[in-house]
Amino acid sequence: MRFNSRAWMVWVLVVAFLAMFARNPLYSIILLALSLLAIQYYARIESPVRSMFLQISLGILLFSAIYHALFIHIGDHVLFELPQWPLIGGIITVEAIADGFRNGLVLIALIATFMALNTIVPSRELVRLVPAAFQDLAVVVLIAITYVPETRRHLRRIREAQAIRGHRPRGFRDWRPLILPLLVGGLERAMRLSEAMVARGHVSERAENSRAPERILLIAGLFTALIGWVMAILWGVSGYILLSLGGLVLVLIVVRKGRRVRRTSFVAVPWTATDTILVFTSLAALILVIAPWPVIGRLSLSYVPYPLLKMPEFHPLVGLALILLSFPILMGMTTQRDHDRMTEPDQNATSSREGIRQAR
Amino acid sequence: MIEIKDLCYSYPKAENPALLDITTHIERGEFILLAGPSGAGKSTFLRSLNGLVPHYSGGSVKGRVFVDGIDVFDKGPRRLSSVVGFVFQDPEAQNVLDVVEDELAFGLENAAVSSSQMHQRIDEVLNILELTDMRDRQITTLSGGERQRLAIASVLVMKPKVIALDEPTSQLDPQSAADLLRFLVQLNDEWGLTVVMVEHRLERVARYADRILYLENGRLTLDEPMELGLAHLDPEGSPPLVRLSRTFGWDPMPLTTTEGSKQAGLASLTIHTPEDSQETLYPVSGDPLLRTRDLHFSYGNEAVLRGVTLEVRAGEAVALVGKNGSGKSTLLKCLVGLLEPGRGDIWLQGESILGHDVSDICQEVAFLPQNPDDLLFAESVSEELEITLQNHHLNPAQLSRSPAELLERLELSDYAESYPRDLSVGQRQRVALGAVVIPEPRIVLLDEPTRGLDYGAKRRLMDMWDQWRKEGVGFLLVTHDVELVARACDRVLILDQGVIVADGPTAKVLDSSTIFRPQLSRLFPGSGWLTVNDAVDGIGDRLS
Repeated sequence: MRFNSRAWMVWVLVVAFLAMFARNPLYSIILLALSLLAIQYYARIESPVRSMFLQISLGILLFSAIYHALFIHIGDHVLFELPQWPLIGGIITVEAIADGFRNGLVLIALIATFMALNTIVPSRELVRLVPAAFQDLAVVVLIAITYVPETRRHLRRIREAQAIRGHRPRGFRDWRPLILPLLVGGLERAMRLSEAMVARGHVSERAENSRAPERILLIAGLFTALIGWVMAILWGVSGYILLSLGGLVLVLIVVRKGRRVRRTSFVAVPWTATDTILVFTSLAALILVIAPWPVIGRLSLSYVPYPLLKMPEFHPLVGLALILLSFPILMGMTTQRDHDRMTEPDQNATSSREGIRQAR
Repeated sequence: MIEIKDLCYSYPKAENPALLDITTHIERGEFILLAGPSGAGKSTFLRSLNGLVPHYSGGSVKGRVFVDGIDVFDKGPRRLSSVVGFVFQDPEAQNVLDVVEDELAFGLENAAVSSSQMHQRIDEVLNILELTDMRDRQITTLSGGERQRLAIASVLVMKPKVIALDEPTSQLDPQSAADLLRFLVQLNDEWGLTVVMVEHRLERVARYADRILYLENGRLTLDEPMELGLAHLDPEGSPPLVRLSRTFGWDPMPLTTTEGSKQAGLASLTIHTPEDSQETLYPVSGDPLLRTRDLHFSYGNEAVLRGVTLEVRAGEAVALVGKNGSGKSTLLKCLVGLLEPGRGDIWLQGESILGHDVSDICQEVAFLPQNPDDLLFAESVSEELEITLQNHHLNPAQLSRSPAELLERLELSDYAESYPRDLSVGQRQRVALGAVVIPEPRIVLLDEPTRGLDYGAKRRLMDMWDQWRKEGVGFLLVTHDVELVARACDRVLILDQGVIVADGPTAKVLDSSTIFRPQLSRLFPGSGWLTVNDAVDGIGDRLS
């Protein structure tokens, strides 16, 4: 089972938006679980990556909890009290720690969502998700995609190189020999990669990109949209009209610029009915959660642990709406079961590419 | 095919121009060798052929470059990408995507090649470069040689008229390098492909190239047919065969060992060695400084080292050679504790060091990895040395040689306060060497120390090693550079698929090897002559 990358993109954007929108830790856990299950069924990640994700997640939770405990001095359950030092002085409460965990959870859910996109959708297709008008942005996307695995490999090399100079990292200052070569090396790698992309034809020509009327229209579109936005806040409908007009101009410019860029596709993953269902279920989940339906407990979307820590509320209808997002996981489970009956599991990735090749 | 007129180029904020008054003309189907010392402007010249200079790098440019009638500076890299294929020095640097097939399709998609044509071209290139079985492989799982072939495949798939290669063989073993060069010659002949190649190891390329362009300080000081050009080259920068030929005044100058044999009339001098390259241990005196016994190491289920036993003695220089992926770098990492062997033991001066801390081992065993930049982070060269001393809790008074003296020996005194990353490749290599040898270790392990270095830099490095060896420091050197091994090492180990298959005196091992054989050993098989001096001393007047 393989979804079109555009359908995946919609799913990821919806999950990411809801992860930011719904601040209830129970919903955050559901969204986190959805992303991790999607990775489980659609991507193959090495165990070091899994353990790195776990370490980063624990680090985020810990840092967020400590940060909140030290800087937010509200709550009825007081653990202890720090002297009146600037900023961090005052009571340390269970509520602030719980709030820290809640915020950390939101961040981890977001990271997991984008990790799902990064691991499930091949780099080739991720680059193609960037509109043709923004070819230069594709360089940035590629650098971003390769950054984490490359940085991990580079860090291992630097750690080895510094160890042979007798370096034993203990305190914060001892990280300088690792961080500096890592930063400089990362920049150099990004430069080399972009140079390689330029040499292989992936760059928009200045002449193609810089038609004067387009630039003027772009500025005019942005300016109109901005004024429209301000007017919409102040006066309502007339502002929205201007905002839409500005937005339309921007879309037209992007489409026009994109049409001038000629690109073909080596492996075109067809759009199927399941892709339509994935997009439909994702958008349905989004609308169900964010629209002001009287029957859906919107209050349950937020969670404030202050002043007294209490269990977050769970509304079954919100839960059901989020379950709509599990469509790709259900499909993945079904495919996995069928696949397990027929072939070895580690042939999965190759066979999907082979399938596409044969289908051509 | 390529027309360059009065080309001058300066990088942004550079004091001196990188290229100065270059005028030359390259015909369709020519094979050009671009040579010169490090920092002479070779890579800049290459980048000016596809417009990376100045479109990507910025800076100021004068003069014109035309490739296939296209004004490079006017049209830029995108337009040129279908005409000039560019292979960078480091194949890892140019992998854009993560799967072999996608990588090949990347350029074609950008050039809007139709899907059917794309499949045809990709299949063809995969077939030619023997990469068909790897089409679905993740690029990170490929070996160095495979990556280099992929890098070349990804530009050839564009069917360019010119291919520009920046030291494409620097990471390859002699066999892979020879295969790659033969393949390029085939393309040059059959496709009429114009090849422009930067290479420091002239002995590898001289026989294939039609013409040599030699750059010094940004100026084109030599633009001659290969044979004539080599005759005019500084002897130090010439391949051994050329130096020997010049010593004995052979005319015409031989570019291959076959031509050399004819010139020297040496058929009767040829002494054939036995086919079997399994050698016995070299009989050396004194206790070994470093010793391993039955060393095994695996990455997961893949066995990389399978029972490696070796010794290095005081003052001895031992070369460890082998094909790409034979386990050489893994062995060095095991020796300093960066990797833990699955079986076997390692002794340093009679004491087992298995399980010891890397930092403790490296006080006695210095290790210079392939990429010196991973070591350097300080604000100045002298600070790099101080930091290593601090790491080992040493102070300069405890050393027999002060950091200043070491810098002098490394020819870095003038750069003591310079920012290390601003220095040239050879200088950075020496700074990194200084940073690992400042605690005065007994053994020095070097992993490809001459990669990217010109002849002069190599010679200076060898002179330095000689001084240390006289002081009793042992060297274990991993390299693909057999000419370097011939000149600098007493003993050679050949590692093949994790097993030491040959161990003996340099002359004996290299002479009996089919792959790791210097030029003069091929010219005088069985003679034991590896260097120009050996040959001159050995045959002297007989040849003249």
